Amino acid sequence: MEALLGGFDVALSPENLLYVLFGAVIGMVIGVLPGLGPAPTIALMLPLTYSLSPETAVIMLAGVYYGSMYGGTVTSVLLRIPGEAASVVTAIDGYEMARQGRAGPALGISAIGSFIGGTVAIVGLTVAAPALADVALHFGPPEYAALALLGLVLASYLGSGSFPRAFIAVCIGLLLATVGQDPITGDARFTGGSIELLSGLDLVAVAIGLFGIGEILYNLERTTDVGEAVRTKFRDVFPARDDLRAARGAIARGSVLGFLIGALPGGGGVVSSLGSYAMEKRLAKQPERFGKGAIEGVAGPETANNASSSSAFIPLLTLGIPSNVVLALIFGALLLQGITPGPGLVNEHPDLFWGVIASMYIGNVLLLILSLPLVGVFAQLLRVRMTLLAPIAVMLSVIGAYSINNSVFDIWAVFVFGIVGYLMRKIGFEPGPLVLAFVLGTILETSFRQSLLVSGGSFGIFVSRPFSAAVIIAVAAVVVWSVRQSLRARKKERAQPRKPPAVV
Amino acid sequence: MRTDTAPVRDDESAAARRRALAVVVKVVLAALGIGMAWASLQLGVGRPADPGPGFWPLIVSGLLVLSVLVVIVGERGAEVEAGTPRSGLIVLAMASLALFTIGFAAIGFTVPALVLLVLWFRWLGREPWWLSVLLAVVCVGVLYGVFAIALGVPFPPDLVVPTS
Repeated sequence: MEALLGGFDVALSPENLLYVLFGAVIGMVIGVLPGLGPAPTIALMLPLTYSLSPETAVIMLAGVYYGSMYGGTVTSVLLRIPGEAASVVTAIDGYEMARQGRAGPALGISAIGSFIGGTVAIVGLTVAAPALADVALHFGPPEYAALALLGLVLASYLGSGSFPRAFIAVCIGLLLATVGQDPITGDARFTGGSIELLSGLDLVAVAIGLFGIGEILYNLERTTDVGEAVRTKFRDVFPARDDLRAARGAIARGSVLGFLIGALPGGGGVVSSLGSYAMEKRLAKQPERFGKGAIEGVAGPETANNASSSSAFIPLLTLGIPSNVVLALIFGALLLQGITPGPGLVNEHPDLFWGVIASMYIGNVLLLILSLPLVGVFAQLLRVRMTLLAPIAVMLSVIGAYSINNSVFDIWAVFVFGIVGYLMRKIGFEPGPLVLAFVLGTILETSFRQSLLVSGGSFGIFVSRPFSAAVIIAVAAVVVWSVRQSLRARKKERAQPRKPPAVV
Repeated sequence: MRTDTAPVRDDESAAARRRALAVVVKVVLAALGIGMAWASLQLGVGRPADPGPGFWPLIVSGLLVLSVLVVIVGERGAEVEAGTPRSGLIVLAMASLALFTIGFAAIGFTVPALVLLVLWFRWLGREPWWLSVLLAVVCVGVLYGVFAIALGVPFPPDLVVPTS
């Protein structure tokens, strides 16, 4: 408790207050803008965090992440296009509510649910994280290797594409991570004799290329016309008492579900909101109302995705293992600052650890204040054309990449990864798992090889220790299950429409 | 703003082209895995008790080939998306970005950035000239202010403005 109060000291400093507000507003804005999600935005902002202190950098980036969860709702409700992936299901009942003239209550209940879900998850984070970090201090290389592997497998399984396809992206990410010096022997690997590549590919260049350029080009190409937003008055955003009563249960369940899913490796916004929608529909007395503007179908998922975006910080802050691509980029921001997150973080950098947690309490209050009265203002952002944003974002990508090492080489790296990212999307691969694997690659390889050195070359070490054995069994279960599923899906494939590609 | 796929005429020959492209993608990915496995062997794999630099990349390459095989066996649909009428613009955009990078290294940030942004607003966005120029000037000014002045990033020697 004392430690958390210390965190509030950090988070309430004028500078950090300013940055949490800045991050939250940016998050809101990009959440509203279709075609710009949290991952590209955070990639673009990485170079800017270089000059900030570590806690300020993470406080700001975290604000972008959970802020985008608030903002994504607006687009879903008014346009039936998710502003970011986690709001996909909100588009169903949220848009129906808007068509019935109830856009105000839909947005209002989302903001309230998001606030409650976010706050519940942060309380959970406050309680669980230090305890988990204590446990994690006893973990050795086999546990880390197993956990990193589980994160990658779950991220592939829970992604929006097919498992084997996502896993191909994971393998390529892992291979890209091996470029440069061998972490143990120091030999040059796959550098083609280039001196610039000896220190490895820069995460910032990879992420900015894949997201900042690739993703934006992809969305730019598909942007055809400006959709017609449901016109609405925003005076009555405060939901009526009946609405609150109807949504109460959904918000409570969404908070818990979102918290639990977010804390899993590979878990994140999309899964939690889909899970909550399915749960509410199953529990509803009249499930046929879903799809026709049921307020629980808005409140539950919006609560859950916000809760999960907060609890997703648990694996990063306690284990040093980012659970999804957004957290992987925040992990990268910490590495840029010379801090390697892990179980020691809470003791070695208490200002960072508790400052970030405290800032989330503040950020959620700010977002609630911002989103209720200002939702109409944010809705105006829907008029901004992608064709105006894209050139600016690309220019920012290029200059940001240059500023990391002041080298034109990094611009070329961004250029190449921009093309790769664009082509990946065109041929049906998500860049998210690739970036997550690129970040986890070094952790995974190092801990894998250290484990083998410890065991004298016996792979038994991964299954003879109880915790890593349990994790490996989980990995095996997910792999077997999803490979079976994707082989089975072949028969049904023609009959089924393709899943819509997600905005990361 | 709508981001769903533009309606694309998908006649028989286009569908066949996309199927062929999907096959090419799988072959290229499998070749990548095999090539990386070969390169890992060249690096030296060592033994499990004493892994060499190629040990881990070899395992990952193997997993890559395996995943590609699962995709080949498990999928038949053409996951490749058709180009849209705007695809040509993407090629143009990337080509102009390459020219920008060359220009950036040679004559600094301001002039190439200004040219690139004006052309992009005009070509990709079909904005009126006055808006394109105005926005480009503002963007270049803000980016220069943030990166060169506030953050002190040393840009290459510039034709117009001083650099640190």
